[in-house]
Amino acid sequence: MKRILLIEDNEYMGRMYQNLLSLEDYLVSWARDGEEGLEKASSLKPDLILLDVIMPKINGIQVLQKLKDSMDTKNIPVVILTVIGEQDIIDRALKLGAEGYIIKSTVDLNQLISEIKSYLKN
Amino acid sequence: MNFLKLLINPKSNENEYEIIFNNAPIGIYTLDKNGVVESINKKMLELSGIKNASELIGVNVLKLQSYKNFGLDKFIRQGLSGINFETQVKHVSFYGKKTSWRKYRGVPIFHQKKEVLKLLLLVEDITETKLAADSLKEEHIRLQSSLNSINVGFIITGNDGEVVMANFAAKQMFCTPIPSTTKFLPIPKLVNLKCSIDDIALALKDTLDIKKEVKRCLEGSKPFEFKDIQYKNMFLRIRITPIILIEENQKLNFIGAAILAEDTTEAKILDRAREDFFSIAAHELKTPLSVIKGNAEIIRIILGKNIDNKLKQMLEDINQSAIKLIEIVDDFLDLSRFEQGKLLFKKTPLDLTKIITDIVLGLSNMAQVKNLYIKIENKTSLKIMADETRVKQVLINLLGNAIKYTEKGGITVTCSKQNSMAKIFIKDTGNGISAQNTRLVFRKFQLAEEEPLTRNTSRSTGVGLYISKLLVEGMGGTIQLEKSIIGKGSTFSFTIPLV
Repeated sequence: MKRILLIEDNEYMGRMYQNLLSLEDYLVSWARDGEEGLEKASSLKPDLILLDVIMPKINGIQVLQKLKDSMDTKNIPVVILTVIGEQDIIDRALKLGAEGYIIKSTVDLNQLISEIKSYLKN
Repeated sequence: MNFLKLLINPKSNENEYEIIFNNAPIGIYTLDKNGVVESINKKMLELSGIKNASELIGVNVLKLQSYKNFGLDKFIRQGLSGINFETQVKHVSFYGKKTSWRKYRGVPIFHQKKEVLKLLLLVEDITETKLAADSLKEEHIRLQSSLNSINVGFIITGNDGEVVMANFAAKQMFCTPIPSTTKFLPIPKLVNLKCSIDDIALALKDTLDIKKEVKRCLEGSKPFEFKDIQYKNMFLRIRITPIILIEENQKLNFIGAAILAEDTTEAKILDRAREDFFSIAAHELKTPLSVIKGNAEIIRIILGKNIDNKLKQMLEDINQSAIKLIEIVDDFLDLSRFEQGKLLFKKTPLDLTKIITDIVLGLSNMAQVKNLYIKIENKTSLKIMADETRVKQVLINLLGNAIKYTEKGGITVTCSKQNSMAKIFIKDTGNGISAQNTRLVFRKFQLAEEEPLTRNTSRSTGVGLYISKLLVEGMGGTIQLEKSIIGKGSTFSFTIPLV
């Protein structure tokens, strides 16, 4: 069973993705902020990280940088999952080594699942 | 010596001196050691307004009330005691009608270098010079006070780049320990405060080499502007402009530079707040909307094939309404970013035909539901230079509108090459737009319908075409409504530069 770490501060959003991913038989760990996300990333070594951008304390871009800077976590694929569609943020995330960038508000869930599957295959 | 002789004895027979005395353009008269008028020339008579010299000769001026009034008596006493004097007097004529300004000079003449023998008085009418000087002075004060009253730092440098003049705001900004444009030192302190180009250079040392820039401005006779210069807790806009003196022969002479330093902190904060507000509001709206949309989809997945048709439709409606709301929020976010110049275009070479085919395919469902055809004519292969997402957005908007406003028939997309541009036509067989509304369709919040209350709420927010126009123009093209006939349909077109 593949393990997905979801780093998402919004309660409703987090619960929704958790429900969706559980339906697809993934093992989901949910971290509610960046700090918790970084801890869980290195302790659980998930197969994929879904990372929100707008979060308290440390934002998603900062989390991504830390994940990619650490030997422990730098090989875990990270997919950004956010409502932000600004090109400069997308460029920054991809430059920092994000595997994918999904805009929550426009993606439909079937599409999301198939994208997650493709990231997990690699 | 001869002149002195003449003065000592004005009635001498030396005609030549008398001619000079009487034709001198300044008033001259002499007093004896007691202050009694001895002689007087023509000009002086004219200045006194007296016809005959005899009326004044023999009069002791120290006893005249008018001399006392003008304060001249003191000076004459001073002259008679052997000390030269020069004074300006505001003269009011005997009848009190005419005011003039006069300059009196007193030159004592000594007998054997010891006691005063006579006092020679030279009088000039200086009204014109005096008034001119006064008005110049007044103009200068007015100008200086005006410059000191504005809260923009204003500095004038000479050709050497050194400060010639700095207003209060400039002094307060660059030459005090507490730079501010709202709180000023007491005025006497500001008046006495010196402000040199070195002070300004020191104040700005971390952000702008003002000496170098002033030099550059003076050498090139060109103005420069620097925005968002960070200084202490302020953001400044600094402009350096050469000062041009137009000489009488129309020759231009560059005599220095004017430096304007404006505190733009407030505007900057407001701008930032506005930008943040739109961006935050948009993201805050999109988060719960995404949850609504997503949960409706998940319920669909959970219920699977066993779902009741009514329930299925309800979930679909929740989903579609959430999507519609997200689109509106995205439109407004685009609009706000565009209007602030924050929308960036990532231009790459693109295959136009492929893009059109993809979009048409994506919208074919929407057309099918309404039984409309949607076709692409003459598929010429054109390579355009544009932002892929934005071109797609324009096509979706124009094609989406065509489908929305067409009930019968369908939509035809054509593209052709026109000079260095690709031109795309979107022709529909829909409602058409009335003549008076054709001018308005690309305006913000403008719907083609007559009345705002009769609009179709499932269709538009009124920003779609406006955004398309901004996007197309941002990529270097144009957009227009080619023609529209009520009941027959409309043709829109837009152009995009070819590679």
